[in-house]
Amino acid sequence: MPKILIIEDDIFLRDLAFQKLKALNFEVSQAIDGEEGLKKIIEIKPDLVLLDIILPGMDGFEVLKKKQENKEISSIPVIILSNLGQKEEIDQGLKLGAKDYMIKAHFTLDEVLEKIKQILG
Amino acid sequence: MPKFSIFTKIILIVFFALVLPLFFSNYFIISTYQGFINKYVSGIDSDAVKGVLMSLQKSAYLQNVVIFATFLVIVFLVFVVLSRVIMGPIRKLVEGTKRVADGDFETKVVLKTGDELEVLAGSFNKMVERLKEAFSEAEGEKQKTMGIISNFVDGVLFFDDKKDLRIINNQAEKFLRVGPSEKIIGKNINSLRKNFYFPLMSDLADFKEIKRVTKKNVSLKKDGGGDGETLFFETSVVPLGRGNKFFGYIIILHDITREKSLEKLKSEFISLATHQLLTPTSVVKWAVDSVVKGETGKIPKKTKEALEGAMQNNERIIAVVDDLLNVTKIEEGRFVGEFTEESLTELITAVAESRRKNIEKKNIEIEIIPSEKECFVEVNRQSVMLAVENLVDNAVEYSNVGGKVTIKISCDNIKAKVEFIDAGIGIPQDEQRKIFTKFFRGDNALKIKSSGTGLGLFIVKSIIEAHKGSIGFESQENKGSSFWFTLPVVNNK
Repeated sequence: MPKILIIEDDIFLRDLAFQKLKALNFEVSQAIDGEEGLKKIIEIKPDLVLLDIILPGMDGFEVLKKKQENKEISSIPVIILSNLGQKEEIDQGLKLGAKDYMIKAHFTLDEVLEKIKQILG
Repeated sequence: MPKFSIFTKIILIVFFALVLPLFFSNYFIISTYQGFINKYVSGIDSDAVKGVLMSLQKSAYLQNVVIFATFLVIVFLVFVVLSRVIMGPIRKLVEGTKRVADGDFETKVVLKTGDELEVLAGSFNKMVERLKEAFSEAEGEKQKTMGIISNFVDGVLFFDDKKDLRIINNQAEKFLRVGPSEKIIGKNINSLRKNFYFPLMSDLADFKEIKRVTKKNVSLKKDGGGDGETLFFETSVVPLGRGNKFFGYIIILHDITREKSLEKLKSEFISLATHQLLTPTSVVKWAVDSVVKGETGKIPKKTKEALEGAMQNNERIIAVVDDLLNVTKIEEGRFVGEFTEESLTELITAVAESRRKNIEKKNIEIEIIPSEKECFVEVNRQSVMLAVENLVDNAVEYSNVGGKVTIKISCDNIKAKVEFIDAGIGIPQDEQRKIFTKFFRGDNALKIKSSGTGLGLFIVKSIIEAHKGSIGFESQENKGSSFWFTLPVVNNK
């Protein structure tokens, strides 16, 4: 099954996403901040990353930027899953190479899942 | 120097008017004498008589020469006197005017001739006095104006019609980092732009003609391109002219760094506050959605209904937060940012497509009637899409299940009009005047959709008006509503 990494600092959201994906037999890993997230992307080389933006320490944009700079992992698709939803932020996320920018409060987990499946093909 | 002085002219006039006629009349008299004498002499044999006649002739010659010479002497004396009496004062006046012309307003011409020339000199002196006053007044005004310009909090530059720099004030020198020793006055903008890293300079140099006040926001690194503080300016180019005469351009550099940093702080705060508000609502949304769908196990019907109510209200919080964010942006004027040329039909079709889920849920038929010719408008795409979204959502929301919504687009050479026609619940007559106010919700609308924020139409109106458009509606309760808005069309289409 595809490997998915969730980088999310909110314990409830992380857990809800984790349980949902796990139940659908995805191989799910978690990271609670940007630094750990980036480390795990390199280690695990997941098939897709769900990335939050507001994270303790290194923020999601920086994780995305560092990921893009590293040739080994630059092709791994990233869906930004954040509640920051101003145009500037969305533009920045997409410019940095995210496949999609989803505002958490605007989508249910099922809709996020649909997007994941769509990207994974 | 004049080609012929007055003196020369008088000599020439006297020579032709007096001396020449006198010379010729003398010559004629002498010739006549000689004729007579010769006639008599030829018929007379007496040598004595001949001698007398010859001496008579000689004396006539002599007399004429003496008369002519005396006349010349008199003329010469008259000239000497004339030159003293008239030419002297005139020369003084000429010298005086020359000095005044060279800018010496202390000049005074003193003549004591007792005639018109003395009056002329007096008038001349008064004129110089007046001129001096006018000049010192003008100079004072200029000093005052320059003082104001120099101490102006904005940077001010003036380029003449050839785009040569004529004035630069202290602030502009500071902003553009021009040292006091740099001689830039009189230089053309094309040579200055090589020194200045100021984008506006290049803009102005590239512009063939700026006919109206042009504003632009530019940023500038304080230390000239390093990591230092960035300064922000609102720059205005003001063409200066009167009637057909064009004098040049005034460039005003207004420092908006402080406003920008406050704006950024505010924007960051709102962004973060929104984020913090939305995070718990996302947890509720995801968790309740999962429970309602039975993913955590089967739940009783009543529990499910209660949770669906909670879900709806959670959605309401999300909508309020989103709308408040939009209202803040509108009130800050941030919504109308970049303008792009858009086809209204394309934009509206895109919005209708994005709302397909809502539309299908209520089994609504949407008909888009495009205009005969394409309507192009210059708008901020994101904000006009938001306005259209709100109008489409309202039309769908307040239509009956299985109803129809028609969107009609039309335009002429001046404006484009979009109408959203539904056959839904309509707006009660007595509530119609409040429809565009913040937080207003119609009584009948509340019954259908309790989760509305009452901000949608306020947002739509603000966006349309920010685009110099207008908005209105006709509605009848239980029959339906027709909302419309207009936008100015792009001229060259």
